[in-house]
Amino acid sequence: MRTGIRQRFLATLGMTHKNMEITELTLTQILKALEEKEFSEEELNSAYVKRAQVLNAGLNAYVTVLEPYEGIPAAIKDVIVTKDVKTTAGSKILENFLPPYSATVIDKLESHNVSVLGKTNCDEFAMGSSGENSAYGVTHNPWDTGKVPGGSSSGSAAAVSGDMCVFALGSDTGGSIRQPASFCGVVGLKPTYGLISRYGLIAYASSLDCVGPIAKSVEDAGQVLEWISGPDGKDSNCSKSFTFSREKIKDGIKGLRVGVPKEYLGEGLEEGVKETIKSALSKLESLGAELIYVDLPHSEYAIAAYYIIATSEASSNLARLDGIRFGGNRDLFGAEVKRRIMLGTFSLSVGYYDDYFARAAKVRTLIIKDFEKAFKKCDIIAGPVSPTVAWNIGAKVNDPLAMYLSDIYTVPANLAGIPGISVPAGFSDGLPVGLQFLGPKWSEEKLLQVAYNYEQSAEWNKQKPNLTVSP
Amino acid sequence: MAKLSRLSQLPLTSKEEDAYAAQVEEILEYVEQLSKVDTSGVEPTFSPIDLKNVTRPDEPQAGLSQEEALKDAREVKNGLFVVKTISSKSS
Repeated sequence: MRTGIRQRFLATLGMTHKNMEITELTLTQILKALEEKEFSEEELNSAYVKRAQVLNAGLNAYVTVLEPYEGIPAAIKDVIVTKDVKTTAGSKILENFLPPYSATVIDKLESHNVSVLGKTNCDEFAMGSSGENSAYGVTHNPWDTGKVPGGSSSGSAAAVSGDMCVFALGSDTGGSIRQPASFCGVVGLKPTYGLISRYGLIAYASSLDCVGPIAKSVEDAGQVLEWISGPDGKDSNCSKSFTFSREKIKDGIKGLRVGVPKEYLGEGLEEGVKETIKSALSKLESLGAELIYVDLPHSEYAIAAYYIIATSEASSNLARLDGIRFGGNRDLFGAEVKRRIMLGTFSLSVGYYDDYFARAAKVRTLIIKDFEKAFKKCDIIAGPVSPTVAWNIGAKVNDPLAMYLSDIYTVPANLAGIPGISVPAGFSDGLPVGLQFLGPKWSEEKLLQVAYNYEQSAEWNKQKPNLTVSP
Repeated sequence: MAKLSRLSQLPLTSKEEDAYAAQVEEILEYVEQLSKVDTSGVEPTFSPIDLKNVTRPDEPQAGLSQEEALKDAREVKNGLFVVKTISSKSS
């Protein structure tokens, strides 16, 4: 770009003196820049491809990096099938799997001029909360490479955080978009169950799985959400679309009733995270929101209910990996996957079904009712995403139960089918902390609105991890 | 554990069986707490969406060709997936 044009371009972005790289730009900024012909799609792709290739050696965010030269380059979690592009689900069992079709969300993105930059690493079959359960190596957190990026959409969150893509798609069954987004300091949105077609998403737990965007900003997340939403006639649970309004999300939040669950700020929440969340809540108040305490009395049972329901559904879904029509032998499954298949098989077996699966399904109803009651008193619920910040790689691998307990604030949204978003809310011990907003079903617009207002006033998204790519 | 491994179609060595048994037991102990919840009169929820019997007109739509459907298979013969023999001898 010639100097004169570059300076005028930077001036448009309000950044006259900052030397902004193409890879630092958000989707929203890029769409505008392309429209105004500030750079070409080829330059855009070249910049991101190069950065992705160089940084991937240290971060292992991608399992596969492609070299698109047009479109908007996005990173896709490797549990979403892409036609003729290796799709592994983070597992050895699908090491050589070339899907004969693409997921609906991929077709939709491509119709909006998005290109697939690569397939991101993830916990095997989306089972994990750290990014350590992949058969393709651990993914590292761009803020501190000795720490986990979170999971299971580990690679997608790391890629967005490290500017290795313009935005990414992840999937969220128990928190797998929101938690890594929180750990990596980016925006992660789990939509209402039924907004996004799951056709082409390799199934983990069918009543909990949701595809969603991981992005550099709230506005970006809203745009991607619109692109990928809507019924396609192939997922019978997908019934609605989402229309993104840039104007609506910029409306102020004066008078918005924000519910804070008493159960979420108690024991178990790390002190540094608690302080960060409390500051964020004060910030919301300063923006005009009204904070109200709400009760979610069955919160303590959410993890138990989740791990029975999710593993039961998984045991059924993963039965299709028989090594006959696709994939390798079942002994190629990793330890966590085997554990969950066995737990699920047990919970569904004769003599145990009533005490485990059926009971968990009833507790699920109680959790849903908790939210319904709470949403009568407030418009949006706010709280932490995770009880801690990112932990050291290897610290929890030998304690599966400890790993499960870190999902305490995220699994309820999946059980209830409601949408949730994680936005950067600051740092504790130098690591990102995410603030979670939850809303009633189909309230994505309101979620984006409160998240946008918070994001713009708090400005945490202006900070980036310290990664260098030599020219 | 051996029964569970067979039911799950996950072949395990006896060493693996022991290792997994301990972990699975610990997790099952944790989920036991659900028995403390009063679920009398509560209907189970199996899906967060209320839709039932979603249908579409019975008209053929595009699908995978036979070639596409077979291309990732381990073994193909005469345009068919080759599967393990099911005999009266196998358990």
